Amino acid sequence: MRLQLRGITKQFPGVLANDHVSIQVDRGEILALLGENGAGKTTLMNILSGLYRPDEGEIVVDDQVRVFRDPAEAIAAGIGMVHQHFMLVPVFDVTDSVTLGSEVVRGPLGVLDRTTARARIVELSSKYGLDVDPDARIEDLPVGVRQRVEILKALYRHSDVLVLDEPSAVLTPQETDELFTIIRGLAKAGTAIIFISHKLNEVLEIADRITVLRLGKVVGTVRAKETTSSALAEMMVGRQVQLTVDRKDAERGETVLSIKGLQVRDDRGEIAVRALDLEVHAGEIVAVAGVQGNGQTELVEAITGLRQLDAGAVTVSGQPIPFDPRHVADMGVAHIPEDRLRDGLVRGFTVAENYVLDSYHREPYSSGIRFHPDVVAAAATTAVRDFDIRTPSITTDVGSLSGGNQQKVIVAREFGRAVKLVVASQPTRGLDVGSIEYIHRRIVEQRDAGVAILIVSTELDEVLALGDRIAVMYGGEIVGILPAAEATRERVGLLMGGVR
Amino acid sequence: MTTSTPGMGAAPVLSAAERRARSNGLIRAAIYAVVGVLALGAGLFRLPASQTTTYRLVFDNAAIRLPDLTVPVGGTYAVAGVICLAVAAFQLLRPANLAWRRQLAIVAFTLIAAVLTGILGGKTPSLVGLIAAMVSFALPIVFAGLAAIFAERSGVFNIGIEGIILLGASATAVGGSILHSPYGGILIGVFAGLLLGLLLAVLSIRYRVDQIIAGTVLNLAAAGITTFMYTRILQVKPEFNAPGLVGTTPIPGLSEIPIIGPALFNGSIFLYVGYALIILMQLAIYRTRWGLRLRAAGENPNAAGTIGIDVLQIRYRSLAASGAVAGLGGAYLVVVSTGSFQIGMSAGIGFIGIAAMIFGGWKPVGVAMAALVFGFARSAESRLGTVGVDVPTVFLSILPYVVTIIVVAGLVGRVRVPAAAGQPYEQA
Repeated sequence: MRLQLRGITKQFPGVLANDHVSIQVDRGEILALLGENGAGKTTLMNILSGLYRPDEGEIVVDDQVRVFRDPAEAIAAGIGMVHQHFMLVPVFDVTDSVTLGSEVVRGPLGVLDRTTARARIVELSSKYGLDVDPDARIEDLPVGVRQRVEILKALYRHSDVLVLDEPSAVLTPQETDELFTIIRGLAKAGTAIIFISHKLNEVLEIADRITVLRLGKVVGTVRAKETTSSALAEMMVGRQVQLTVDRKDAERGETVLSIKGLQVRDDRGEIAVRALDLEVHAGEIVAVAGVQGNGQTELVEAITGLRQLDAGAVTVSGQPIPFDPRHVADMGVAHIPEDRLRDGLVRGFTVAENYVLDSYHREPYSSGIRFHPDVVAAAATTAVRDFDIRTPSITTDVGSLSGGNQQKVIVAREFGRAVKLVVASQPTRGLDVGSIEYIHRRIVEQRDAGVAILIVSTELDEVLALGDRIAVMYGGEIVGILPAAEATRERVGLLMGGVR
Repeated sequence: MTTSTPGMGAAPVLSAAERRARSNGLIRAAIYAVVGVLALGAGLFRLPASQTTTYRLVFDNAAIRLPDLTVPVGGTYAVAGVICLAVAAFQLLRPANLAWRRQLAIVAFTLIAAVLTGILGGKTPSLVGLIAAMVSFALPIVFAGLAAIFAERSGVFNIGIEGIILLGASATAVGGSILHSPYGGILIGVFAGLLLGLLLAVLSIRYRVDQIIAGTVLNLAAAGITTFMYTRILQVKPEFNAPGLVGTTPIPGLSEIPIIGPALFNGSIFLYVGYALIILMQLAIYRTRWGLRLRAAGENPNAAGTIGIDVLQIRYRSLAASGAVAGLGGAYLVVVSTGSFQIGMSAGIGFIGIAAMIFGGWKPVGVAMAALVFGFARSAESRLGTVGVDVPTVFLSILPYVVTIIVVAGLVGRVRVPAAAGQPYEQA
């Protein structure tokens, strides 16, 4: 089996998502597709899996040109897809989830033959070492196992090509290792693998060849053995990139944020954060590592006054924080939320309006019931210049900016007032390398100015690059705090998996 | 792998869902206990010991004769109280028990029976007639509930069932009159329902009109159109409102079973179609490829779409089926109940059907059970009217709605809506 994409072009309104992209993967080979968010990786895979039709170009399977009008045709041609967001039905069991769409049935009425289906799944999972209980309900399974169910779905359909879209995004480092073992086993058995990622180290570890995409175009294809992460980064970004953050040692001052015995519940009423103690001092960065969904969101919301505390105390410079985000902001707490369009900005409002969301109601932007748009405009113009926000104008809808520039609007607003504590959650999620550098530099500048900084990130690289101390959250608790010098990838990774 | 389960850090503490199930169970137990104590107290101390109600167990022309059943009013209340207390005790012992719908149905049933017996004190109502009326009131609710299941399992809210019933009923009346056949009328009614279901599908799937609004508009339009039609056409030319009646077809043997036979086995073709639909849908939803895909479309359409299942086709077909079944319900009202179309004859059955779907846990058999509870309340209410009791019977007819509100509000139990219901699906 050899799969080739030749000259694939796909135009969306305003964006050329794929511009004459050609890639090739052979039987038993692992090809990595590397690129930043927005480079066109996912579009290309949606074309391959039959979800989109290309404007130009062709898909060639074993020297035959194929046209996929819908996902069923791509599946029939042997292309299996593991989507970044799992495509599973939470209330189904594993057997039904795997067979859905290619069910084993008896008789003209299509009565499900679950016994046969189950036996096939058991056979497949033992053959490829995918440990899965065929009777378990999807919603009861951890993400790592759900991913195996997704892989089983593809194998069950006799996929010769397996496409994995950012498969490690939701996994701990140890789960990622297990996944890599499975992928290598599949490749050995003859499956062609396309591994989509934006993580350099991962791609170097797993791939035989690496094709780099930038702004919808193929920049080049290299052998993994013959390249380095900095060379790949340069291909990915188009210029030399500094992969580490320059910074001096922390000068630790007095305690700013103090959390004692904190317990917080999530939206469903489950305890999400339990008995959590943490201190952040002036002039230091504490980075909270952890796999998504281990209570980080609730922790940040509790600190920033967005979520009621169940038990315990959170103080900033000795003052207990109230359940009132505006009041917390006025106490000198800056918040860079994890979902910038949900909690950070108002889509449909202009850049200028978003810039003053925290302070529009007071002098100099308002006096009494009067609002002064001209004053806001002047302040926003200054901010756009100071923070290098690339926007056509300050009256542009913030929703139309790139992710990096949206994040800069938030940073400009939050750092624009007198700040004692910065709480930044996933501050660089979905940003291009240039914006990541910029945001990281701004955060380190704040630290050097004596601000206490709490960063929450699921990206191990980010945590290791920024943290003076690294706290690992698992199951709502902090399972370990390591000074930067002792925080190796392995130690933090183990803690992220709950192994103390 | 267990090491990497997020949120499982602490061991066997009850999860929030389990705690909620527990506290709901305790609330239920408390409600049942209070009601039970009241009923028991009334039975033992408040009601005159001598008063009795005599239920007639068979129709006068029945082949198998049974003597009348005479029950003391006070005793009935006392027994009802004891049953409620027993259910409460069972709840208290196992508060997180999942069979709460069944228990709630038992309590509601018992209470209606007790109240009915009390109000009818000194009279001789026909129990067999009461049960027969219960079934005939339940049947259209079953059709409405099954219609709701088709739509919602596929991921679309069908609030317009009420309107489809009304329009289906008027189509049946006119169609049956023109064709001089009630059966022809039924076909026209079902077909009209199917078209209306497709109309809803086009609005909500193709044009992504908010599903609640589309359904509401359909209901309002149906009320207006049928009223106009009735006053301007059917009243002027009554020959267009005379589709005739569909007779009953007793099943030999079974229909002679005392008490339940006449209700369950001596009905119109609708009754038997209803049985078939309940059983076939129950099996089909859980045991066939069609059902698996239907549920996938309603739970996570993206999961279905990415492996090549045509989600939109499933939704179109399900809404067509939903409309057809609702149309059948409308036809029933005309050719079985009244013999002609009347303004507003759907009388909220479409909405009660949706309530029955929720109460019945989105399962066809559950819908049937819920419909029987609702039907029993209506039947008790209407019997009281015929026996001539001077009591506000409205209380009995309110009970099903109160029960529904309690269920829908999630006060006493957890309901699980198909996860994608109400969300438009965008095919790439």
